[in-house]
Amino acid sequence: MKKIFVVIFLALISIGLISCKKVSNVVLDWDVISDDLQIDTTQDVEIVFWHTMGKTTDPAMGQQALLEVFIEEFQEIYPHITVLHESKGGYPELRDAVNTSLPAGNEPNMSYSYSDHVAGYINSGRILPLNNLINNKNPEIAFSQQDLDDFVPGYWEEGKVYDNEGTMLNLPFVKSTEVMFYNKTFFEAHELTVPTTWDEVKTVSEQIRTIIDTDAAFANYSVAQKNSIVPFGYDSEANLFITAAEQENIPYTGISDDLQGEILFNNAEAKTMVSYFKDMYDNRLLTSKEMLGGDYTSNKFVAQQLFMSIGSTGGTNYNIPSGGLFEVGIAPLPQFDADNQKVIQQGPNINLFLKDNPQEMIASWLFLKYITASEQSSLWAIATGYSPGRISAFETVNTYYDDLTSISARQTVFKNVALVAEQQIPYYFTSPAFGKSSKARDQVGAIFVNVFGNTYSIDEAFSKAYEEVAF
Amino acid sequence: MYTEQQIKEQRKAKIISKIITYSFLTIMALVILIPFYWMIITSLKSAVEIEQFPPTLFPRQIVAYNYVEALERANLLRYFANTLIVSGFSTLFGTFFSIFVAYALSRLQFKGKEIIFTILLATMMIPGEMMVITNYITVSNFGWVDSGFGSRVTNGPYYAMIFPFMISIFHIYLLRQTFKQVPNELYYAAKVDGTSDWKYLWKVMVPLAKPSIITIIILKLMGAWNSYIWPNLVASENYRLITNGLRAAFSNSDTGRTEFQLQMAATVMVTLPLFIVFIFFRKYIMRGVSRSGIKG
Repeated sequence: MKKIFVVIFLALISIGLISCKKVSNVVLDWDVISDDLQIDTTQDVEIVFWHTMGKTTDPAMGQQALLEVFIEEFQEIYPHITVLHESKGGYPELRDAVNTSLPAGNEPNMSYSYSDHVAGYINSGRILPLNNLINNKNPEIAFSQQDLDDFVPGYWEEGKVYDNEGTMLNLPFVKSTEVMFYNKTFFEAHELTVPTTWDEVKTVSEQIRTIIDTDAAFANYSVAQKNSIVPFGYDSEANLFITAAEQENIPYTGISDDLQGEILFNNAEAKTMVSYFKDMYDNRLLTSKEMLGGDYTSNKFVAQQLFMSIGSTGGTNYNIPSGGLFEVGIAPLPQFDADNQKVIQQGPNINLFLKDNPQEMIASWLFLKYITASEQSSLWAIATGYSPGRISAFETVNTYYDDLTSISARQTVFKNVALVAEQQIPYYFTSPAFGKSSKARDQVGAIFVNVFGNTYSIDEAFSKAYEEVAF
Repeated sequence: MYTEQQIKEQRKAKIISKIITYSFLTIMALVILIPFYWMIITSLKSAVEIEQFPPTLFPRQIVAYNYVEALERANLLRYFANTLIVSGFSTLFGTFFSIFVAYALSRLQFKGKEIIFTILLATMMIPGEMMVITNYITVSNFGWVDSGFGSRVTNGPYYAMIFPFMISIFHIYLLRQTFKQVPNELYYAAKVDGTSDWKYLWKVMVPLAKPSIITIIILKLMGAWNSYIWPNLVASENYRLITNGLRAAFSNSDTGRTEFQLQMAATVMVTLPLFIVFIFFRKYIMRGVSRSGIKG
């Protein structure tokens, strides 16, 4: 008797579970919102913005305090709109919170998001395509041609990585890129040239190795101490792979015409590229975060155990030594081919969600438009060190630093980071976003870790990574 | 009779086994204590000193200001109060429910008792993670979720954190087994004396099952205290629990860096009350954990 009930109960549960499975075939329809909208100022609307901003008390520190200043200014322009905001912790927490709230219809109006998060949200059918807002017949809503030209092209394109139709799902806000921090004092003392290509990185690193072995300054170092010094460090193995592949036109991932993600990194050219860096690693010329046991290369850089470090511009602060121990130089990312320069772009965007009330969607769009405007994004960039999403905002940031009557060593570094980031604008690229894109990213990072650490041969590491992603 | 030689050897063996035992215990104690030591010294170091390699074993300069800054940066007191409210209510109600259900399932006679128990047990086969979305939709329909607009029901997030996890089948099962061990004779004797079922439960069963009930209280408290994902989903800033505060308040999500000195200062402040509770109740906690065979 008891057993029969258990069986019936289990059968009921499994029927329930099967019926839950729904095949998704969401088409991104631009016309979910009209291309001829009117702002109804008589109707009070409340919108909610989810993000990961830290708590701050001073707007000069950026983050929540500055956002609140923006909100106040925005509400003066549109008194009928109330903007509420909420930090959801880190990015994984934010993504989980959005994913859980979508089926309950509890999602916010707008949210910080990475492309692969948005690629996951699309299935809910509740992502708002921005095309009809950008090109709206109402000029107060639409972007002007001047606005469109002002967005950093690479960042703008990141909104369109979801299909081949040009559907735009997000606008850039907190952006960053990678630059090379180098120990300017050391480079000048030893008359080293700042490398611009990977081959030069190799040459300069070899020179630094010789300096370590022969120079009087290192005479007191034990062999172990000398060995712990590696001239060049790259924080993110995944970025090294993706950037180097892009620089050499090696396929990494792609999106097919039927919107399926494609995993393309398992190829012979990519293996040659990996063996190029493996050779540098074996000769103690290069290291990476995981090879340092998870320690950021910037920590080694400020401790002068590393003389060139590639990291996110978002982490600029960590590359500045305390007490002005040495001068920090900033250089563009090394390249393989001067005619095909590529630099990865990073940082979250902001996407909007579909709501029943068009006025709510208009309100969240207007707020998004407001905080991504040139003035606001330059204020954000100055406060946080992140790159603005607008070309004109770069100019504002430069002018800000130029107008300072006295500039500290720290501000000089930030100023130079902004200059190099601006210089790299034409070379920005981004990879397609789809269900498995973040997994592909993790796995190509793991290829370097496994190959550097001699856990697997290059062939094995590639096929293992490919299997992990593809199946 | 043992010879002197044999006595000596025995003594030697005894000493050696003692040395082995105590060195093993010392090593294990160190394994447990070092993370606590590290937490305390990290909370007193400066940001620069934390990044240093090799790390210092004692702060070169004691920065007590970390504690002040940690309190300023995160709304720790509020989170602490929230955690007390949520864990207090869910423990109180959860324990009462477990007692009632376990009593009914073990002592009372009614139709379908076994079926109900089987169905309850069957639900244990579904992992909690699978319930997240359905639970979320349910509490959201009740208006308990605060997604930034404020919840429709006042203090809704408290309800959303208390009710879905208030009843634990495992605890009911644990208590039912304990109740079942109480001899039937006691029940009949009580009945002969004219005691009601209600009175029998509180005067006889509950005092006899005290160790199990304390186990349940402790497990419930620990569960509520450690919950992380769910509160993050349903609660807004003002209703977050201490775990969410510790994890999120001191990390820069863009660079992936954490200000460990502040995080550890906050952790020390959170651990201290628990540590005091542990000192006073360690007898029960140790018994509780070993009885249930699981850690929380």
